[in-house]
Parts: sequence; C-alpha cells; structure tokens
Amino acid sequence: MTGLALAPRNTLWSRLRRRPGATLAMAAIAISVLVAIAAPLLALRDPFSGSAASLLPPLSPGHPLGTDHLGRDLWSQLVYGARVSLAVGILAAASAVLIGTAIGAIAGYVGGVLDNALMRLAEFFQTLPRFVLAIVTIAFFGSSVLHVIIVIAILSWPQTARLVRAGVITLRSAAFVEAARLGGKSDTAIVVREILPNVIAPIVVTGSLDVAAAILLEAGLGFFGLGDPNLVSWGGMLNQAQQYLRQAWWMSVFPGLAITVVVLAFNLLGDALNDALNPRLRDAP
Amino acid sequence: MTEPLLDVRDLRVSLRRSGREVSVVDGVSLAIAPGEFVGLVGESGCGKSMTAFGLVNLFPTPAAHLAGGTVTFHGGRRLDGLPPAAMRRIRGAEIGMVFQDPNTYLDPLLPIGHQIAEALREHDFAGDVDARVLELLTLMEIPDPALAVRRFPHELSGGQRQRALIAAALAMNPKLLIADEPTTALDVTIQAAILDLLRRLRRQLGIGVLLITHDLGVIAETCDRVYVMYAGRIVESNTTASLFATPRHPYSQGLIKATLRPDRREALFSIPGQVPSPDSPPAGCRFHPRCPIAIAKCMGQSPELVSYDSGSVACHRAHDPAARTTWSASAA
Amino acid sequence: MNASVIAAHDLQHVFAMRTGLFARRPLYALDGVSLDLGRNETIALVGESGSGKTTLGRLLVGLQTPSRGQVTYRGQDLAALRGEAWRAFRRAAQVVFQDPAASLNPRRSVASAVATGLEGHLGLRGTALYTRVDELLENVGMPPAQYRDRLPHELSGGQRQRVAIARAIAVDPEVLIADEPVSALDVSVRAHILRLLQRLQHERGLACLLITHDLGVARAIADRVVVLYLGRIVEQGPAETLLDRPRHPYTRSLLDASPRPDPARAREPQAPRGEIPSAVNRPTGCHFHPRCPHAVDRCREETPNLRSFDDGRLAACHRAEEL
Ligand SMILES: Nc1ncnc2c1ncn2[C@@H]1O[C@H](COP(=O)(O)OP(=O)(O)OP(=O)(O)O)[C@@H](O)[C@H]1O
Ligand SMILES: Nc1ncnc2c1ncn2[C@@H]1O[C@H](COP(=O)(O)OP(=O)(O)O)[C@@H](O)[C@H]1O
Ligand code: SF4
Ligand code: SF4
Ligand SMILES: [Mg+2]
Ligand SMILES: [Mg+2]
Repeated sequence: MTGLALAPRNTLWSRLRRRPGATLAMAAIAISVLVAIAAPLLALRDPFSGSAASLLPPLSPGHPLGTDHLGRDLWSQLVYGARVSLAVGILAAASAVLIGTAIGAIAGYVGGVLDNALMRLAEFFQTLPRFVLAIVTIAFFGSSVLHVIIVIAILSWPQTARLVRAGVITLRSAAFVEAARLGGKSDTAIVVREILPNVIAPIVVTGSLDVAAAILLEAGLGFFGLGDPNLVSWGGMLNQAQQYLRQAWWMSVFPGLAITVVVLAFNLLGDALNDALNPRLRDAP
Repeated sequence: MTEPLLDVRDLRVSLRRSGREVSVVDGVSLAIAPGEFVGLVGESGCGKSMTAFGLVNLFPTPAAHLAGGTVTFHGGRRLDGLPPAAMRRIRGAEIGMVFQDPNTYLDPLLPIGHQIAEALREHDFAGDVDARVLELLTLMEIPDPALAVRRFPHELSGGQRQRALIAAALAMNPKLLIADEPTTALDVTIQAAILDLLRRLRRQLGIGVLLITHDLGVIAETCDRVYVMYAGRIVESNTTASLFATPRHPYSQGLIKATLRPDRREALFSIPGQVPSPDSPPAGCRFHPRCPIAIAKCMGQSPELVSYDSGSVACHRAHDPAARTTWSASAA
Repeated sequence: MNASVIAAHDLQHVFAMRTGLFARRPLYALDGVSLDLGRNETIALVGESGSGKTTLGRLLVGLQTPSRGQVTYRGQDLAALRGEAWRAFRRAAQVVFQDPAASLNPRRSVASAVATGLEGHLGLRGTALYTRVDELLENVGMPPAQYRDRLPHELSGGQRQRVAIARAIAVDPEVLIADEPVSALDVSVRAHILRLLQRLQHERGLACLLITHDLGVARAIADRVVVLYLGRIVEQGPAETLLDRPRHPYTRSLLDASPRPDPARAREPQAPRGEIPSAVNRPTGCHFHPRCPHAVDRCREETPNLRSFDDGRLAACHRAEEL
C-alpha cells in the first residue's frame, strides 16, 4: 500500500518493449501499415496494367520482384495488396470486437435468461465451420470486400464476447461498481465507464489475434478465387500463382511471405499484449 | 544467547528507481533464537516488509535488491548470495512465509482447497495432499472444512479467505516462520486464535517466529522481544516487557500511545506527520521532523543504536528524563 | 434516543450455499435482526468474520433485498420505494467499503471517484462539479491541487480511504455505513480516519453504522455497540457499559481476544474455545453454546430471546443475570 508511489515506470508500453518478439511484431505491423498507406507512392506502376514482359524473374530492370503471367508488376501488386489485406483484417477485427464487447457486456451485466440466450448464440457461431460458411456466403451474396469484412466479423465476435462477459461478471459486484451504483450512476454508465475500461486487456488481445485470423481468412478466400475481383489482394495473387508454381516461384513466394509475416506479427503482438496486460505477471521478478 | 536460528547483520535493501539507488532498509541487524518469538513493528512504509523480503532474498519487484549485510541461518548457512535454486528449497520447507496483502494470491476461479493443495505440491509434499489440506483447514478453524475445500474465494467471508492463505503458508511445517502482517485483516478472535496457534507451534515444534506488524497490541500478546523500525532503521529493541514498561524512543512511545484499547476510552492519538519517503530521508535522526523533543543535534547527527540493560535505543535524548514522556503535553 | 432514520425489522437473509455439485443448502447470514439507527448517532456493529455484519450493512442500504423482514427509511418500507423516492433513498444512504483498494476504480482518478455521486445524484457538471470535488477533498484533508488527478495506486491506504469517505459524503447522506473503514490501515493512520468520521458525523448529524471487529475502534467512537453472532444480535447497549461489563459470554470472549498493549496480560490463552460454527450448520438453542464456558442443558435446547435490562442493555443469554 505504500510501495506504489515509488514503483518504477511500468507502463504497458515499457512492458511491451521489454519483449523482443513484441518489438519485432510492432515494427513489422508499422511497416506494413505505412506501405499500405503509401501504396500509390511506392508502387512503380499500375498494378493492373499488364505488359508483354510476362513472368520476368525478380531483380529484372524496373521490376524488383518480377512480373506475373500477364506482365503486371509484382511489387506494385504486393504494395496495393497490403491495403486490402490490412483493411479487411483491421476492419473485420474491429467490428468483431465491437459486436463481441457489446454482447459480452450485456450478457455479463444483465445475466439470467438473456445471458444464457446470448451465450448459446455465441456457441452456435463458434461451432460453425468458419471457412465453409465464408465460402457459402460469398458464393451466395457475391464477392466484395464489404461482404468479406461482414462475414469475418460475424464469425469472430463470440471469442471477444466470452472474454468480456467473464470480465464483466467478476467486476459487476466489485466494491467500486457498487459504489458507483450508490452514487446514482445508470447501468449504462457503470458498464461503459467503470467496468469496460478494466476488461480492456482481453479485448485488445483478442482484437489483435482477430486481425491475424481475418487476414488469413481473406487470403484464403482470395486463394480460392472468391476475393473481390476489382481489387488486388495477396490471396488473389496466390490464386493466380497456382498455375505457375513451376515456372514462376516468385509469384507465390512474395505474397505468401507477406501474409506470413503480417499474420505472425499480429499473433505475436497478441501474445505479448496478453503477457504484458496480465496483472499477475506484471510485477513478476 | 545460544546459537541463533537467524542472525542478520547490517542488512541493506535498495530499490532502483529512475536510475537512482534508493535505500529502503538501511543497516538492520537482528537475531532470532530457535523457538524465539520476535516482533518487528513500525508504521507502514518503514521498511518492515522489505526487511522480510531481504531475509529470504525474494522481492516483489525486480527493482529491489540486497545491497549489503549478512544473513546467517540455522547451522551457519549464509543465505545472502545463495543461488536461487538453493534459496527456493529453503524458502519452501525451512522458512515459511505469510506475506501482507494475501488477496492478490487467491485465484477467484479456483476452489480454495485446490489452491492450498497447489502450495503443497509446489514444495513436493510427500504424503496425502488432500488429507493435509483438510487438516490445515481444520487447524485454521475454518467451519465445515470438508465443504470449504470446494468453495470459491467469493463464497467465503473476508476472514475465512485470509485463513485459507495462512493455511497454505504453514503447510510445510517450517523451522522459521516470517509472518508479515498475518492477522492485520482478521477479526479479533481469529487473530487471537492464529496468535495462539503460532505460540503453540513455537512451543511444540520449537519454531522461531518473526512477526511483522504495526499493531503493538499484537506484539504485547505474543513476542519475547521487539524491534522497532523507523524509516529503514531499527530505532529501539528490547524485551517486550521492558519496551512496554519503559519505552525509550519517542517513536516507540508514540506507537504505544496510538494503539486503541477496548478497555478504556482514550482521546484518539496519532503521531503527527508521516513516514518520510526513502527518496529523501531527513538528515540526522530520521524521526526529527515528527519528534516533539528534537534538539539541534538531532538535525545534524544520526544517533547510534546504543545498548543498555536488556535493550538498545537510537536517540540522542534517550537518557534525558524529559524524553520518557515525550507525548504527554502534545496529546491531541 | 433520536427518531430513527433507518431501521431493520426482524431481518432474515438466506444465501444458498453450494454443498456439492448440485446440492445447495440454506445459509442463514442474518436471522431475526432488528435495529434502529438514529440521527447523530454512531453504532458500532461488532462480531466475528461471517457473523453477518456486511450483509446487514448491505441490506440497510438496499444493495441487497432481505429474504424476510423489512428495512424502513423514515418509516417507509424500502421494498415499496419506487422512482424518485428510491433515488432519494439511494442518495441518503452511502457506504464506505472495507477494502479501500477495491472500492476505487483502478483506472479512474481521485477527482472522478469523488465526483461519482455528484454527477449521478445531483447532476453536477463542469465548474460546479470541480469546485465541489475540490471542497470535498479539502474537507477530508487531501489538498486538491496535489491529489485531484492521481490514480488510486498512487495513494497510500489511508489516502484511499479518505477519497472513499469524500465520495460517500459528497451527496450529503443521512446514513453512513462504514464497513471496517480502518481495519486495512495502519494503527497510526486509524486515528486520523476515525477522527475524520467522528467530525463528519457531528457536523452533519449523520446516522453512522460503523462495522468493525476491533473493539478498540468501537470504544473510541461509538455511542452504542451491537454484537452479532452467527446472524443474531446477542447483545446491544451503550458502548461504555457494554464494554466495561459485558453481559453476554460472547461479548466477554471478544473482549478477552482483543489485543491490548499490555504484555502482563499476555500468556493467558485468548481465543474463545472451539471453532466458529458454520452458518449452514448452526448449533441448536443458543448458537454460542458449543463455545460458551457457562452453557447448561437449557442452552442446547432453547434459543434465548433478546431481553432488556435496566441499564439500557439488551442481551440474549439464559444466564445473563447470574453471570
Ligand atoms: N454472496 C454470498 N454467497 C454465499 N454466501 C455468502 C455470500 N455473502 C456472504 N455469505 C455468507 O454469509 C455469512 C455472513 O457474511 P458477511 O459477509 O455478512 O460476514 P461479516 O460479518 O461481514 O464477515 P467479515 O468480518 O469477514 O467481513 C458468511 O457465512 C458468508 O460466508
Ligand atoms: N513493490 C515496490 N516497488 C517499489 N517500492 C516499494 C515496493 N514495496 C515497497 N516499496 C517501498 O519500500 C519502502 C519500504 O516499504 P515496506 O518494506 O513495504 O514497508 P512496511 O512493510 O514497513 O510497510 C517504502 O518506501 C515503499 O514505498
Ligand atoms: S534523536 Fe532527537 S529527534 Fe530523534 S528521536 Fe531522539 S530526540 Fe527525537
Ligand atoms: S444462553 Fe447459555 S450458551 Fe448461550 S451464552 Fe448464555 S450461558 Fe452461554
Ligand atoms: Mg509491509
Ligand atoms: Mg464483512
């Protein structure tokens, strides 16, 4: 009770930086986000415009990563593909987190029958085969980035909902929550302002893992040719590369590498956040 | 004294803080004989807990570390500088510990019996773990121990929760028990029962106890000898009887006066001011900003711990008769 | 005595305790408790852990609904209060919780903790809110400029409890339930907090229920003492006489167990005999009989009623006169 004023600076940031994996992951994510934002500047030419120079290997003049079967510049495709992958990943994860947080908070705070119903619903969504359902939906409603985002979000919220619910249940009878109740605070204010800030840890962690899962799912859809046909995506690039595995390894290796690095980075960040936000580990020697 | 169970000389503990070393335990010496019940008392922030952590070289924060002194345990073994694995073995079996703020040690999602069993397994308890858990819960006088094993922390009252944790600490029958505020959050009867229990363990098993508390009432009931600590230093030590009969240090006198008594109504007294932060301890006698009888010398020169009769005291005015009733005029 | 502000009438509260995977048994946390709390009065509610002190406090402020019996606020049954009347009560009865660390949101500043009720009940915003928060912090001895923006972990235990007290008195309550307000604190800080409570109680004419297991604390500031044992009141009366000459053997054993700075008293065994019975398995007759040194056959069979004595005390013991 006395020690805390003297405690060393122990912010989330400083705790994250102490983990080498996290630093690397954050660097990788920062770079890919920058690349996605600066795509028009970094791209060497229009990613869609083909040329006669098809299947050029990497390090060809003007085509650092080579070209594909239609003579399109791979580097430019990769750079524009980052936009789709990251946008889908981040937007889908953000929607999943929002839905999951809202449902989890309501279920946990209200409890009873509603809690039961909502958790059954979460279970139902969790048992659905994600990929199959995504394929069916896209096949049915047509393929667009928006659809992909919506499908992924709908499939991913239960994880967050469960964690938020568990956190809310432990906190709803905490003394500081009861104090807020005695202070005349409304239930909404109590959940939003008193409880949720204290369950931010699981939200952030699953959010970051969701991004990775969403990117992977989007790439998978693209790979099966179910991506948005009007956009370049890493998955879509892999789809095209299938037929040229022997002639042009670079067509598959670069998008594959990009997906791997970004997915891994978000997973690593999720793990590191999990450790860093865990109060039990926080002060561990 | 016979060969002490624990002999601590000039113990120093420092905290690293924004690149600076801050001394929180500043040359503490104390000894515990086998089977002796020794108290360490002082307000919170005086460094009592840091002293306890220092004895077993286990700190709650990586910023804290031993900065000097020797700790000799039973059989002449030096504990300071012992490799972590060897230290862990001693900590588990030979030195039991009950630390302050046990609530952070309880997992809200596990039944308490499970958590005590975990403590036993961690120290490789050879025997029937379940039976031992039951025995410990019974020893701690937790009602319906057989049922309590399966209860979750939130289903127990505050006192029952604390008792479960003390059970875990006493699980391995240690030679020395370091108990840091073990009863502070307990109600009086449980406190009395735990103190009875500690006295009994001491009598039956010859276990030595270092009892850390801020409550002189608790010290009076249990300890053979007392060390009074202020701002990282020992300011007075004596047998319990002599300390209460004739406290020499103004700080000891203030602590005794601040203790609430159920048997008579007294004006609420507290020592003015507060324990200084270890970042900037006052020069000279560290107690001087709060001491009503401080003289010029106190601000410049740090008083040495001087022995007399059965005890020792660190105060420039210890032998001045006026210093016997430091707080009588300023009672408020 | 003053007119009562808040009163408990024959309260019973039962929890369902898990005794097996599916089995549940009733746990009587409170049983037949009646109590009056008047303006400008401090009652100390004492008893061992699990005796139902916190539960009684929670029922009195409506954080829980009794299984049986009623709580009345200015004569009105809490269960019948609706809308505005309920909000008025909620504002009138405030609590200072046992653990100052748990009762403050770790992520919100001192100022926003103190502002809780000012926003929620009084609808204060902006400058009016800030001014009031600063006044309250000043009032509990925490210079606002220094402490307003701190987070709970940047405070000492005593300071946290001051913040909790400021939050409770912010809405000008009539009733203050302080659940072990100083037991998590240092001896030397206790006096500060108790003096603060005492001053606020006098200044505002609060009806104060001080829950404590420390008879020294009760002695220091209570007018009346109520002793609870396994959910029942066993003795009640003016602080002085009750603590000087306890009538109930349980009160006496509590006194014996209380430490005092007096080594001469030390070596007698202080703990009352036997285990605290579980509230699931309460002994028959007088609940205290398995631990009572004076128990006779009658105690095992017949539950003693709470009887009044001419010194203004109530005690529930068959042998209260002889002992
Ligand atoms: N939510 C609950 N579910 C089940 N049992 C409970 C619950 N809350 C309290 N109890 C039980 O009710 C009884 C009274 O508990 P209460 O918290 O009122 O005791 P107390 O006198 O305040 O104790 P302490 O001094 O330890 O705080 C205890 O036996 C306790 O185990
Ligand atoms: N975990 C910690 N991190 C930083 N400083 C600490 C920690 N624990 C204690 N301290 C500091 O060390 C000093 C001594 O504290 P402590 O030994 O806990 O005192 P006591 O046990 O007497 O209350 C205090 O100034 C306190 O602020
Ligand atoms: S040395 Fe001086 S300041 Fe320190 S306790 Fe003694 S009289 Fe007081
Ligand atoms: S009624 Fe009997 S058992 Fe109960 S307190 Fe009185 S003497 Fe003891
Ligand atoms: Mg301590
Ligand atoms: Mg309680």
